[in-house]
Amino acid sequence: MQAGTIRELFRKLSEQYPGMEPHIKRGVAVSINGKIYRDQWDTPLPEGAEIYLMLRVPGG
Amino acid sequence: MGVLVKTTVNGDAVEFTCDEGEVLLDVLRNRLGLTGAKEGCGTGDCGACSVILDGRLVCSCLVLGAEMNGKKVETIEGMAEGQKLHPLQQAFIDHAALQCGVCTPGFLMAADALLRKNPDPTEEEIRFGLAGNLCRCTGYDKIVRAVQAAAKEMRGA
Amino acid sequence: MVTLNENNNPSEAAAPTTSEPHVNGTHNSDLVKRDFKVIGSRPRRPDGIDKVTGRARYGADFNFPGQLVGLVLRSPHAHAEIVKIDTSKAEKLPGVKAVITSADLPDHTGGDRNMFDILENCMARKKALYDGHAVAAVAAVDAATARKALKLIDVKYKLLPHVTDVDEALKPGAPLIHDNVFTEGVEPKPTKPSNWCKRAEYGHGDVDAGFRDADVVISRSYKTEQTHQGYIEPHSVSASVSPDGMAEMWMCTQGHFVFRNQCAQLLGMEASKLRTTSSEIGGGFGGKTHLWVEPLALALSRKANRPVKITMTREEVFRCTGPTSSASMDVKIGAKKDGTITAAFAELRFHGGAFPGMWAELGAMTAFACYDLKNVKTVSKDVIVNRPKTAAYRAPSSPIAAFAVESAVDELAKAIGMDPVDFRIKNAAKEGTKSSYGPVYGPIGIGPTLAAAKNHPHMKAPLGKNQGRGMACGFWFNFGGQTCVDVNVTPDGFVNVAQGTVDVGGSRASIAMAVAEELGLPYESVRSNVADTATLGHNDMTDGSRGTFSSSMAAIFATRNAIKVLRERAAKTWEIPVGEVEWKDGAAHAKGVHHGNRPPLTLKEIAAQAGNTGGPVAGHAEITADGAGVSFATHIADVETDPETGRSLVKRYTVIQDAGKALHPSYVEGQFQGGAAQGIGWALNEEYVYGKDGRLQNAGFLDYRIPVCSDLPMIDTQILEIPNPNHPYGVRGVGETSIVPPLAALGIAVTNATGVRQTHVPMSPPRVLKSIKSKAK
Ligand code: FES
Ligand code: FES
Repeated sequence: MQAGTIRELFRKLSEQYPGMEPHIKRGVAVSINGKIYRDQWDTPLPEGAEIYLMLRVPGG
Repeated sequence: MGVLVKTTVNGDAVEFTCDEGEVLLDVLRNRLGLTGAKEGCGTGDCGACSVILDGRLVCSCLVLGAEMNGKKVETIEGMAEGQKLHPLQQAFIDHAALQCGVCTPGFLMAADALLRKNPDPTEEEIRFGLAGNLCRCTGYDKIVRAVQAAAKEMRGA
Repeated sequence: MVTLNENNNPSEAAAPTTSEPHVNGTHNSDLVKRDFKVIGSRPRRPDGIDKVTGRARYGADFNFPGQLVGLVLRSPHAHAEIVKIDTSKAEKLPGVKAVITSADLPDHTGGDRNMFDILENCMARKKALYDGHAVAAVAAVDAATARKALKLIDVKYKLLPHVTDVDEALKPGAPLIHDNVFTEGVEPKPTKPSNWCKRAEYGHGDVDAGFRDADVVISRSYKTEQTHQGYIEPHSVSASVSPDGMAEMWMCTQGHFVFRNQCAQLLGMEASKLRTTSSEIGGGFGGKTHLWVEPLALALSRKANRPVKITMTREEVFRCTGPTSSASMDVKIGAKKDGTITAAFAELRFHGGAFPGMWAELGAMTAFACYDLKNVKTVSKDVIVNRPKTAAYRAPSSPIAAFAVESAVDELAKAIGMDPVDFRIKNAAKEGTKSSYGPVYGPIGIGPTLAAAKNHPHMKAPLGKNQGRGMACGFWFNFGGQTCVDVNVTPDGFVNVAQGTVDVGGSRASIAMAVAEELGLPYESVRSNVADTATLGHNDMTDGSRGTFSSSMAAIFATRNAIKVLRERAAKTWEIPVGEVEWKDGAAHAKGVHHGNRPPLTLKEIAAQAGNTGGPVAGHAEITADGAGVSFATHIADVETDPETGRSLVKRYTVIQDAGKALHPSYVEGQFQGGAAQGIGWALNEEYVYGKDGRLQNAGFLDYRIPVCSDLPMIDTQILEIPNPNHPYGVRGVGETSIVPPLAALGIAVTNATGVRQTHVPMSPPRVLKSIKSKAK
């Protein structure tokens, strides 16, 4: 799968794996090269970046 | 029904009517508009409602408003002299001894009562003197330091 | 993320195609500023005077004219079907203006399970799920009438068997709390409902092989009890709904924008019609990120057509708000004789109270986050019990998991005969480490905090009789989120900042400092206020240590926008191109050969002329402040445990933590000290005690004892500053990590003082005494 931004990644994931959509809607965080992004879906995914989907963590 | 009470609050003569079972904290907050004393528990366990009654530190949630006839009540609102903060108030600000600040009025009352009795307390005496007041934000470190600094200043040292 | 947990790395699949530079400034590390004038100093806070003179207005200090007193009727039963509620007698009582039950709160959540859980937690629907669960509420002219009315409400309960223990709730045949909860994350999907709501798994490598490689393997089970955030100010809310549907709320909350959105959704209102103001907040620590009585106050006000104020009692605060999970964990770690950890495993069972949660999963993510591990696996089981809905409490779940893992790490270090600090240094995560929860770390601070601990004089100080020392590490994620800030220059040349994140620990001072720094003005010229929801765009809550991190970032960008305007105005005044105007030290300076000799135009002068150069001067920023940067801490604790009574006293305590950049060092220290004190309370004293009847037995500060002044020593702090490249000044969140290590640090210290491995917090005197006696046998 090719994706340039978090938004594109989510869109393609939802298309390919319909089961993912509710999880993405409910809130997913993305780790790009170790940095966690929760909301900034425009964030570009750099070439060869390590991408992780994570639980959206609450805080105190 | 209501009890008529004549008392002195922060040096001013005050008259109010309250219910027999009404605690001083509610009188201060709801009838006299003095909301500086806070209700953290209502059971005498947190000290957020501390006031000085005839020179003695009390939890205002435990004493009755109806019993205030002829008494002298001091609250946080009367601690500063006009524009000039009490050295304890100033020290709390300077030493960042407050975070959320909800415990602060109670601590200032308790510290004031302590320093009146003991102008040069040791760290341990401060810690035990303030043990009736709960603070959940600071870990007490900066509060103790602020009281030490204020005590020193008040002694003119 | 459930579906990806098993094989949590879609990175090969997601080969990115573009690599455009990111432009909004948040990720441009050359923007990290190093020379500061205001930042790093310790000015007085703007709310200080109000708070020391009693003027500051907290939740309960506000009144609407003509307001009614609202009170809530709560279930005395841990688990019961609500057969019938008869409110007719209460409604007829003179002075009662409204009575509500769940019938007055129809479901507007549109299938959103999380919102429905919030709704059901605010007011029980078919069943009461815990002791203290709201079943009805009244609004009356005064408190005495409202109390009488509560007594006149007739609720018919049918008692159901209950379960309050996390391990019991998992057993087959345990009383079932929700018949629509099927364990998520197990294959095949269960066909029968249970109290086990979710399973998740994290890690990498092959732990079985790793254990085979180990010279020494340590395995043990641990427990922690449920605690409360224990903020001193009980929840209070005043709500006023007008007949035209406009509404106002005043309340203590960590996030008035989020509360507005959620209340509007639950009540079927438009968010724009609900204006919420956040009062001064008397502590929150996560406990004021969740709705409890706020929707009830709105519903009562709507029904009574009068303003309604609800202020919780301390007993209510304990019985139905807050708490953490209690937990039960198994940890197994193996290492080579040279100190290399070869494998680490943990199973974590946490409860979320009476509703599905992800608290164990958070524990599974954070458990081994401090270490560089080749083979690691954590399994989480989230469980439902008949206790209040678990709420976030400062770095939620992380202290619990750290207690088990750090205790095991300590035991393992001892078993192979290595110094526990050296052992941790050898295995610490570093830049490039694949974290146990998935991602690879960038530059991180665990190594430096450990190095600082090793060299700290505390580590070498002699110990007395019955004394023991413990040290432990902690981790928290931190995050940013949606934030906006307005910077307004007043006509007389001062600066007003409107921030939307609630100030829980001094953020107004820090944000004013950042704005002053950017403008080159003294701190005293800038004042920051928390704006209400009608005057600023949406802001996420002050949670996840984000308040200062994200609002200072937005404030810096907003100020830079204001500076752009100021330069334009100066250019107009001088009639020169804006490119020839630069901003420094609070004034516009003309540059270049043609204009270099003009005297600078100060902010004051530009502000005075603003009317004829284009109108008021302001700057705004609306951002999503992502990239908060993970945070690590190392704590050192000395305790003295009385072998006769089992009572432990903390003799010395040191906190070492990375702050990225400390905007106002006093408040950073304050966060470190406050978190440590809460952790000490959790470690030594605090716990919810439930009776066999499922009722909470210690719902008050007398029996739920939080540390007082005489329980604690001074708490030493050491702030490390490893800049966060994602913040213009390098700031990281600091609010939460400090509560993570204390449970373990004290557990290890008491272990060393008594010679008995402590596996159950709080280490209350009876529990410690029992452990000493059972060893003596
Ligand atoms: S409110 Fe009086 S002691 Fe807590
Ligand atoms: S400063 Fe918040 S309770 Fe003391």
